[in-house]
Amino acid sequence: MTETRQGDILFSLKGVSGGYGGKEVIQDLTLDIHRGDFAALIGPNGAGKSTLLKLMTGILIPSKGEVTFKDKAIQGYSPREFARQAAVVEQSMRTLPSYTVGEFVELGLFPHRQLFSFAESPEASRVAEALEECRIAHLVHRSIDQISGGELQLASIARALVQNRDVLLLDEPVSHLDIHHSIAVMDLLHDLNARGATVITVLHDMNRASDYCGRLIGLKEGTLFFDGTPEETVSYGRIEELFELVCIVRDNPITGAPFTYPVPGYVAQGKKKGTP
Amino acid sequence: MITIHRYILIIFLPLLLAGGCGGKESPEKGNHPAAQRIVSLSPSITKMIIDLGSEHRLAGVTSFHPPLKKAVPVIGTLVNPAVESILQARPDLVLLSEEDGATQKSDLIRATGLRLEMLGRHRNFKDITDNYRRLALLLGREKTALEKLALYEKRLAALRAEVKRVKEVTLLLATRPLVTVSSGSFINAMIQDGGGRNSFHGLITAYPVITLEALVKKNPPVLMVMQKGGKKELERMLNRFPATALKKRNIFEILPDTVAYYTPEDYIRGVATIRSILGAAR
Amino acid sequence: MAMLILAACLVLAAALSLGARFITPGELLQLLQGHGDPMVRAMVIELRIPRILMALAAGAALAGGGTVFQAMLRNPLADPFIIGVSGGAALGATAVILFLPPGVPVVAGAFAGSLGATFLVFSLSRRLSLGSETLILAGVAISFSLSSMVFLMYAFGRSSDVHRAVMWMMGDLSLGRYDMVLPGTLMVAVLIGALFFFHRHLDIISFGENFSRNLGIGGKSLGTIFWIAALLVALPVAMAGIIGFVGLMVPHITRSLWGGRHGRLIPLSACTGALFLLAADTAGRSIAVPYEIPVGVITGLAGGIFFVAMLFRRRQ
Repeated sequence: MTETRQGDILFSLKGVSGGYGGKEVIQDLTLDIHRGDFAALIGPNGAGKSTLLKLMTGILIPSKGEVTFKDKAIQGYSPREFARQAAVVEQSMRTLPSYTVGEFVELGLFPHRQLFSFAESPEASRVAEALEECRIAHLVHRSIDQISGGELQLASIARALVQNRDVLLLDEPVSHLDIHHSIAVMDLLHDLNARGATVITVLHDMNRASDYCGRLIGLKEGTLFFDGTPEETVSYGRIEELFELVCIVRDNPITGAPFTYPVPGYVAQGKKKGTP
Repeated sequence: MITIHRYILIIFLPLLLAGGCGGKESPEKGNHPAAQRIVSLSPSITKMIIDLGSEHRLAGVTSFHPPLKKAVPVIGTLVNPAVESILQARPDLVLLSEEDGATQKSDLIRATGLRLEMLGRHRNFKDITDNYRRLALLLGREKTALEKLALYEKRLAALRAEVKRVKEVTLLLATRPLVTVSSGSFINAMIQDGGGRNSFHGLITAYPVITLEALVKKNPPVLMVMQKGGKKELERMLNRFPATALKKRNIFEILPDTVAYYTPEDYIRGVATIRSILGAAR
Repeated sequence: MAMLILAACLVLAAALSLGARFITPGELLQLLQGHGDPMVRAMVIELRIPRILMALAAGAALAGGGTVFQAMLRNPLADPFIIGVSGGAALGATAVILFLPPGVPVVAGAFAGSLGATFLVFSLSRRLSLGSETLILAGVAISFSLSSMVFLMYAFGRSSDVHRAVMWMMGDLSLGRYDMVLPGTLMVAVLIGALFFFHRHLDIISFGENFSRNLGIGGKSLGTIFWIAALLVALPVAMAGIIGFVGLMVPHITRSLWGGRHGRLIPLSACTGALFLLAADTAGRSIAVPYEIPVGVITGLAGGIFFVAMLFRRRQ
C-alpha cells in the first residue's frame, strides 16, 4: 500500500515562488512529480497547499522560477490542451441549478469535444463508469442543487475521472465525506494509481495520507518541509514541528502505515510534551 | 479564425449601418402646385405661415405653437413629432426647420412618401428672410411675401438709422447658469441691428455659459436679461461688485417670447425692443 | 412554451394595429392583397413594420447579451451596459448630435463610441486579470468618466440639440428604416446564433472561474465570447439609444421560469426580450398619441416594479 513508483517526470518545479496580490505564499520551491506517484500535500492552514496546486495547473503564474508539465512550460499549454491531459478537482464551487448529476459529470468530456461538432460522444460509458466508481449512480437524474455537499464532492471527482484518468490533481477531495465515502474515494484513487494514474492530492487528514499515499510532501509556510514515503517522513518530531501540537506516532495495526495520534490538551495551553 | 471574422465585423458594421442611414436626399425638383395641406414641425414656421395668410391650410402643428384661430391637430412635440400622426393628417407638404427641428426624422418622413421641405439655419436677418421667401414660394404666396418683406425691411432700416452711438451690451438668456450669446447666434445680429455691440460675440459656441467672474470682469455698461425675474436676480448677484450696469441702473428685463420665434416679424420686434432699451439706457 | 407563442401572436397583432390610428385586421388583410388606403399602407409598411422589426431585434440583442454577461460576470445583477457599451454610445451619439451637421448618421457615432469604450474596459481589465470583478470595476470607472464628458458636451451645445441628445439617450425606436433595420436584424440573428454555439461554455463559466479554467476555457475563449456579446449589445444601442433593464430583467425572468442552462436560456431570453421590448414600445407610442413615451422610460418603470416584486418575493 505504500510503494512508490519511479517513472518519468510529469511536473517539475524549479525555484518557484508565487502567491496572490504581491504576497508570496510559496517560496523558492523545487519539486518533481513522477508519473505513477500518489502524492499527498499536507501541512497546516495557509501553508500554501492549494496555492501549490494552482501553480501546477497554471491558474497561478509564478513570480519566480519555472513550472513544467511533461517537459514543457505550463504557460505554453492552452487551457484546453492542459485540460485534456490533467483533471483538477477543486475545493469549492458555485452550483448552477438545473444540471443533473449525470450532466454535470458529463462535463468532464468537454475539453475533449471538438468545438463545433454536435455529434454525441461515444464515451457515454465513461460517465456511467465514473458514476459507479464514485457510488453516485443512483443520483444520476437528481439536480445538483438538491444533493448534499458530500455528494457534490463525489460528483466532482466523478467528473474529473471522466475528464482524465491519468493525471489527477485534487484539493481536499474527502473533506466533506463521511468515513464510508472517504474510504471509498481513497480506495478508488489508490486503485487508479495502481493502474498507472498519477494522483496529487491535498489532504488534511495525515493518517489517511499515510495509509494510501506513497509520497508525503509536507509544506510549512510556503517551503518544503519534508518529502518522502510515510515511513521516511512521519515521525513525531516532524509532525509536532509541522503542525505545532503534541503527538505520538504508532503503526496502524491493519496497514502498518505510521499513524499520528495527537495528544489532547497541549495545543490550547501551548504546553510541550513532558510537562504536566 | 474567429478573431479574423471579429475584426471584419467591427470594420464593416459601422459602414453597413452608416450607409444605411443615408444623408439628406436632394429635394425633389419639379413643379408642385402650391401646398394646400401643410404640417409644420416648427412653431416658427407655423407663425410665418400665419403671417403669410395661410393659417387655414395648416393640417398639423407641434405642441408648442403660436395662438391659432381654429384648432389644428397636434402631431407631437418640436423635438419628437410622431410620424404616424403626420401621415394621418394627410398633408401634401411637411415643413421642418434645421435650426431647431427633428432633423433626425427627415429620412423617415420621406420614406413614407410624404413631401418634406427643410428650411435652413439662420445667423442673421437675411437668412430669416430667405427662409421666409422660400416658404412663400412653397405656398404660392410670393406676392404677399414681397409686400410684407418690403415693410419689414423698411422698419429695420428705420431702426438701424436710429442708432447714434453703439453701446456695449451683454445679453443673458438665463441667470442660473449665466448663458449669453455669441456671433454664432442670430440674436447677435439682432443686437447689432439694435445698435449694440455684444460683449461676448467672439466666443466659440452660440450660447456660451459664462462665470460670474467673467461677467464682472467684462463689466458691460448695459445688461439685458431674457428671463422672468432676471433683473432682480442680477441685481442681487452683482451687488457686491463695482458693476457699471448696476450703478447706472442699466439692467433691463426682456420677455422671452419675442425671441422664441424665428420669423421676420419677431426679429424686427426683437430689434425694436433692444433699440428702445439701448436708446433709453443711461 | 405554448404561452410564449400565444403571447408572441398577441403582441405582434397589437403592434401592427395600435398607433396613431387603429388599423383593423380587415384593413391589414386588404393591404396584403394590394388594395387599401395608401396612407394606411405607408403607415404599416414604412413606419410600423420597420419599427416592429427594430424592437424585436433590439430586445433580442439586449436580452441575449444580458444573459451572456450575467454568466461571464457571475452576477445575476449584471447589466450588459456595465462593460461601457452605453457610456461609449452616449458619448459618440451626443458628439454627433451636438457638433456635427444633421446629415451625419448618429448610428455610426454611437456604434464607434460603444466599441471604443468597450475596448478600453476590456484592455484595462485584461491588464489586471480578466476576472469578473476587475471587469465590473473597469466598466463602472469608464462609464463614470464617459458620462461626465457627455455632460461637458451638453454645456457647449445648443439647447434644442441637447434636448435631442437627451431624447436619444432615453431610447427611440422610431428611427427604424429598412436599410438599417434589415442588416441590423440579420447581424443580431447571426450573433445570437454564434453565442448559442457557446452555450455549454457559458454553463461551465457559471460554475466558477477556476472550474472553467480547469475544464479548458481560457482567456482566448472568454475574449471571443465577450466580444461577440459586446457587439451584440452595441447594435441596439447604436440604432435605438439606451434602453435599460431589458438586459437585466429578461434573463432573470427567463432563468426563473426555464432554468439556468444556456442552451435554453439564450434563445428563450432572446425571444422574451424581443416580445417584451415590442410590447413596451407599442405601449409607449399608443398610450398618449401624438406624444411618445420614450421606450426607455417604460422599460425603466417596468424594471423598478419588477425589482420591488422580487424584493417582496425574497422575504417569503
